[in-house]
Amino acid sequence: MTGCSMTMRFWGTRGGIARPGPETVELGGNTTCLQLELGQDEPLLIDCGTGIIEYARAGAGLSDHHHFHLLITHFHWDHVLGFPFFFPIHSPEATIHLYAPFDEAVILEHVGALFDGTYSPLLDMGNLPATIEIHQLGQERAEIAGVAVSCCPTDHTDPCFAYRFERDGRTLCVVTDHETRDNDANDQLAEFMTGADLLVHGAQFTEEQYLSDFEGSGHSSIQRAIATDEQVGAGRLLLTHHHPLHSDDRLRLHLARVLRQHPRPMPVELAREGRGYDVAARRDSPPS
Amino acid sequence: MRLTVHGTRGSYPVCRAGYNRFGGNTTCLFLRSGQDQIIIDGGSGLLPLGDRLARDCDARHRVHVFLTHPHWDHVVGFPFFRPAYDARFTITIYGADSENKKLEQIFQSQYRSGSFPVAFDALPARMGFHRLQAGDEVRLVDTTVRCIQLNHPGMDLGYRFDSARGSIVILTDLAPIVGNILGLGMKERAADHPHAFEQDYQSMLVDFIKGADLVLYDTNFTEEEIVGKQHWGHSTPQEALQVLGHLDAPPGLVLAHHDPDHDDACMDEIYRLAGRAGGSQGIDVFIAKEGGSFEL
Repeated sequence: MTGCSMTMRFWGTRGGIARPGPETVELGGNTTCLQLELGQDEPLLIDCGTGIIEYARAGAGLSDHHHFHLLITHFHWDHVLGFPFFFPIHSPEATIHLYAPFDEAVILEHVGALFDGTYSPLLDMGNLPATIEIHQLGQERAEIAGVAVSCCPTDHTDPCFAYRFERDGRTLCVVTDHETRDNDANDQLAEFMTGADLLVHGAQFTEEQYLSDFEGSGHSSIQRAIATDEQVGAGRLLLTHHHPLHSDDRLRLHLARVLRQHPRPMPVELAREGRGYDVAARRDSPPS
Repeated sequence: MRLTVHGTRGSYPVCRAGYNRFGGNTTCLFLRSGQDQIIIDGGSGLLPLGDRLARDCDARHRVHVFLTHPHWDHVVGFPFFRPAYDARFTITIYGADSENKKLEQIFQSQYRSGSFPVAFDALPARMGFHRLQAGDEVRLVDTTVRCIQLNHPGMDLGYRFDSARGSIVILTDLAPIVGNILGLGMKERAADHPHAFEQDYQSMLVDFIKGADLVLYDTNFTEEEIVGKQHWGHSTPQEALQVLGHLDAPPGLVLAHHDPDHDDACMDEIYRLAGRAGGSQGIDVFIAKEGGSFEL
């Protein structure tokens, strides 16, 4: 069966901190925010870096939506700092469902800290006009906004999770922050990613940068993300979490060089802000 | 004395085509005043500035950071400030406590576990804090710095930097005060005599600017946009010109803290109109552009 379309749209592709300017206009300067479009009524978003501000701004008829489903990978600034500027928080009609595989108290502590009256005039998340509902995800698969969602821990500097989305025989894995190196966490995550039709993987560094300065940083290089893609047999790879000081041109030139040196042709692209990528079932995948 | 603009956008960084002439980074200014290297605020513009300072550093360096207030658009760059990861740097941070955080905590909380991978105490640079209250004065090698409280939600300081070469005033963020008292503790102090309080504040603001060469002013809104949003804590070019109009020899005005909805074409128009209004008052109007600088 074909089912509805499944599209992964990027609203933020940078890691670390937003990086405006002419050098990042093409791939985008906003920090991590993705939207999974399934033709559903209620938007499903992953992370709320500054990209979520752009999502809200671009969303014609956004006020028609009353329920937003927002999955969080972890609480580093580049994954949450857009939330205080996400204007549906000021709408009494909106309910924002926050999901993460963390204790409810931990989610509340980290998201609540964005509203402490010091860093913005907003004091106390409980006083926001919108209803914020916290959902603690467990090990078992959950059904969220019409798609099956499961999660797996990554190897990062603080607890962080990858997500796997499955619907109508199509599978998408989103691994924003993970350091690919030889250990049990990596093996477990590789199993989790196996057979994805589309893999979104963080690739903050070049391999040279990674080896010289960033072992233990919790991030992968472009080369390591590509090696993982081959290992888990994903259909297509989208690289994201671009380094804030790497210009679009530098990233494109670097990826082209890596792919030229690669022994086989690889379906790899640099994720671009604003663009939607179809999650298509691979030709060789079994019918469902 | 040279003031360089590394970020001048308000609220949040704007990463869109059509914003590149004025820039999308949030507030970050660099003031070179004789021997003194001074940073005012650490919005997202601090990332490229820090990268350059660390690359150009060939010996021990001392950097003074003055914080106007701790709202996100003025602090978000600090965890990514490369000199903080470089043992050759001594970084002193000047600013006020917020309502519920000490100056130190405002910074340390940005590095707390779960939010950022590096702990504040693990930073290799020598980090120091200098707590300020409105009215305080700090003497650097070639610069004297004074501060006042501005009318903005929370605690917000305006700064004046005086050197032998001239005087620059930074007023961000601030709103018109009449019928709109916003600053931390101001309402309480104004309680019995709000009208007198508003007048005193306005005279204090004018006195603070008197004799300066250049004033950078938060002019986030147009006159149409500020209606119903006065309590957000920002001004308009007209408001800035009105304040400067109280002076016999007004300084040059630099429009700053651009609204995230104002693209380059919109900023051109705002600048054109403000320049014309300033001209009729005998006030030179300039505009903050990322990468641009003002030299005295």
